[in-house]
Amino acid sequence: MYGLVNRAIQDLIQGRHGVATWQRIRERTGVKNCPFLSMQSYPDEETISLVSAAAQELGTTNDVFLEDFGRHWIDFATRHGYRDLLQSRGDSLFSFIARLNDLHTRLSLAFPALRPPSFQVDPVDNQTVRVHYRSEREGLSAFVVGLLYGMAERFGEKLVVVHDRRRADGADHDEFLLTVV
Amino acid sequence: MTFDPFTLFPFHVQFDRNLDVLAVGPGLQKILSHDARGMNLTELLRVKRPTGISTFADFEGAAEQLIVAELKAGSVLLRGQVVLLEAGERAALLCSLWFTELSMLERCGLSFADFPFHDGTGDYLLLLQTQATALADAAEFARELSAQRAALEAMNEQLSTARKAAELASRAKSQFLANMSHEIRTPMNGVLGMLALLLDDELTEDQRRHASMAHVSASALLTVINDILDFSKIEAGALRLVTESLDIKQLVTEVFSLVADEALKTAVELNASVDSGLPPLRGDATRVRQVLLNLVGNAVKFARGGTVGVKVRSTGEDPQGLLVRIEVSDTGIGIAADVLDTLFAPFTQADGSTTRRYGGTGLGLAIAKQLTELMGGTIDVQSQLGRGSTFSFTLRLERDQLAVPLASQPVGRIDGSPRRARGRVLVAEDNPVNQEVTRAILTKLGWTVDVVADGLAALTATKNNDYDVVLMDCHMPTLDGLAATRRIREVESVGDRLPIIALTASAMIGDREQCLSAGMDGYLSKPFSPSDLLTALAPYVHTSQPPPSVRHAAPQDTIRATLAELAGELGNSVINSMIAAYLEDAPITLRHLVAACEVVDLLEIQRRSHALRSASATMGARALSSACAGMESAAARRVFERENLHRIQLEAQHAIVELRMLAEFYGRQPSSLNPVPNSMTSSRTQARSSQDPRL
Repeated sequence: MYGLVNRAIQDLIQGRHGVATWQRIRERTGVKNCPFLSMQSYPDEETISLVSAAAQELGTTNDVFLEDFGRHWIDFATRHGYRDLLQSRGDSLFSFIARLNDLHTRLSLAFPALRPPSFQVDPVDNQTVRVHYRSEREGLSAFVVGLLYGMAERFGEKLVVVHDRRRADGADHDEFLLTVV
Repeated sequence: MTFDPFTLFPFHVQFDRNLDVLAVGPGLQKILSHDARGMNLTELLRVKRPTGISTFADFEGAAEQLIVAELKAGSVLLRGQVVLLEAGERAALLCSLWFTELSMLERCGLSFADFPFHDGTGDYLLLLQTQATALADAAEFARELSAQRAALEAMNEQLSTARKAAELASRAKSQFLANMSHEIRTPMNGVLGMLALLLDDELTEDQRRHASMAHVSASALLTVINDILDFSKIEAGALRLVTESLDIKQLVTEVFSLVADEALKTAVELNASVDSGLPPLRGDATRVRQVLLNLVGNAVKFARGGTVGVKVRSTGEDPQGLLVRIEVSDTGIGIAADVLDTLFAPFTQADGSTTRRYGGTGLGLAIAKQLTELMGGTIDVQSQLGRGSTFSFTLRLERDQLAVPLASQPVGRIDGSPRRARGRVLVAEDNPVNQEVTRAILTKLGWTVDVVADGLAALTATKNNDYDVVLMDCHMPTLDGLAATRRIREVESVGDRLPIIALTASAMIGDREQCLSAGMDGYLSKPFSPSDLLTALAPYVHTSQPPPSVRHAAPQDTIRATLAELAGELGNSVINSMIAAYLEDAPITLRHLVAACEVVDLLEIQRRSHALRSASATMGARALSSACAGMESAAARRVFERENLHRIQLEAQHAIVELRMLAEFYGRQPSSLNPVPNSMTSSRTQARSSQDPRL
């Protein structure tokens, strides 16, 4: 994972729970206490251990923390120079979601070590789409759910996400049913 | 459905030959606030490069060139090219936007969706954005680093201050050490000297026993003090090694002789094996002896009824010197594995009961380790409980080229000086006890003694009187011994040099050098025994006179008779010390003499034969003394008499054998006037060395 992701976790923890909590989480991971470089690629294990340590420290599960982190990620990226990438003047939530794949393709040009997920969007009706989410990495579907809710908030929409098929339950990929209410 | 290629260029403008705008792409239209159709192209934009484009013909001519134009509304740059349409009736400027940061998209009301996929503008802007983020990270890092550097500098500042304070404290400690060294040794000199004198008086048996015990205790105390001072000196980095000729075989013999009595008492057998292939070496003989004595002394203590062996061999040579390994093994009680590690640490002993049972400060091995390391070596131990221990140390020693004369020998007055016969000595010493001790010993030895208490008084006394020799304490009020010596040297005439011997209780480094450079001829470290004093003064005794201590007796022909006469005057303990000193020094002097003869160094031959002659004459070894005198006077005439050397060696052997026997006698007898023994057994029940507080 790029250091940007780890910095976003740090931003979430420090912003909501203070520097001391972040320090404790870092100590739990045993990772040396130096700042993350946004554009440097770090081992996935480091990010995963940060997530686990944060969940433990905050008394919650990894998935709950990851969903929260997904919502925060949209806010963080907007504040850290990627506003224009997320800028969708005139777009709707669904048209933005339809362009999620393009967005990640563009990002993979700028971040050569990125292993981006893919999003296939199938319209169901005016209010509902089915999103097929595929990733090399496992265990991040809760993060995607958080991202989707975060984007809905940006567009001022109320969204219901149903995790319809789970890779964790043996499916070959995750599928989400997204309904605007 | 037909493909309109203009959809691929959302930032294009079509215009006719009058430069009237016919159509603009949707992306460009988004940037403009009004419909551009019908405007003149020159109102819409200004071509910046190439320059001078103002007519349709100009655009036609620039069809092969890169065009950069600026939109008049919003100062947006376009880059692209001209294409001619409909046989040159119309033309189009096919452009893309030239943005340098991602935020310009939003400023122009655009999004990524406004760019066709073939146009990489958005992606390049994204790349620029990631690089801007990386740069921002770097700047953040730089800020953190400079904050850390500032903190480090502040810490360095504090450390530097602390270091200066520590250095100051260390210097103060060294000074304190020097003072303590002086302050402790001076009264110890008084105690030991007075006890030696007391033992020479008529005493009841009880008094003698008490005084002897006090003497033994004081000697033991001095050993402990010396250990602690040695250790502190090494710790303070104040100990410097000297380089001199060093005979390891001789050192082993000396060390064995020092522990021989203890070994005899505890039935320990001593063995030595020294590699005969060792070349002559140079190193600090005193310190090597100290390490070896410590290890052998320990081995003897713990090997009751067993064997102690010393093995010496060379283990190699490198540019820094010859590596010599010395092993001291014993068949003693052994050392438990768990204490082996701390054995060389200061203030530790194998177990708490060791001190009570075997004595010692617990510093001996720590000092041995430090000394070994100072001498470029290492020390280690292997041991098995109940089986014994082997302590080994290595030394890095130079080969002795024999070319350098020994610098530390006191230089005596040239023979025949009229002063020598008078035997008058000036003692400059401020401590009343030491004054008394020195005066008593010298008087007993037959010298006429004047005592002064400071350097100024010494100056006056040497001006007004003729002295054969001056014993000068270094530390005195008003004018110290060094300054007084320099003043004496300034005023005396060449060829009329007054011998001055330094007396000093501080044994810190540089003292000896300071004394010699101030113009002193010799150096005597306190506490000194009567024999030390006798040895130091020996070069200044005229040999044609009777031995100085025998004031009314005719010269005696034999060692036995001479010493018996002397004993009558000085008491047995003084004689015993004299013998010990002779037995220690004469073989070394002889060795130097032999070495000097091998290379026919006449100056050295003269010096060494003179030294041996003086000492031997004092002991009554007349044959040896006269052989030395022959050698000495021949050497003074630049003649080398080889046959004399054989005579000296032979006579020295006789003298040493006889003195060894006499040592047993004088060492064993209480101090009183005793008949000269006619026969002596070889039993050695009394430690000869116990009379000399430093041994």
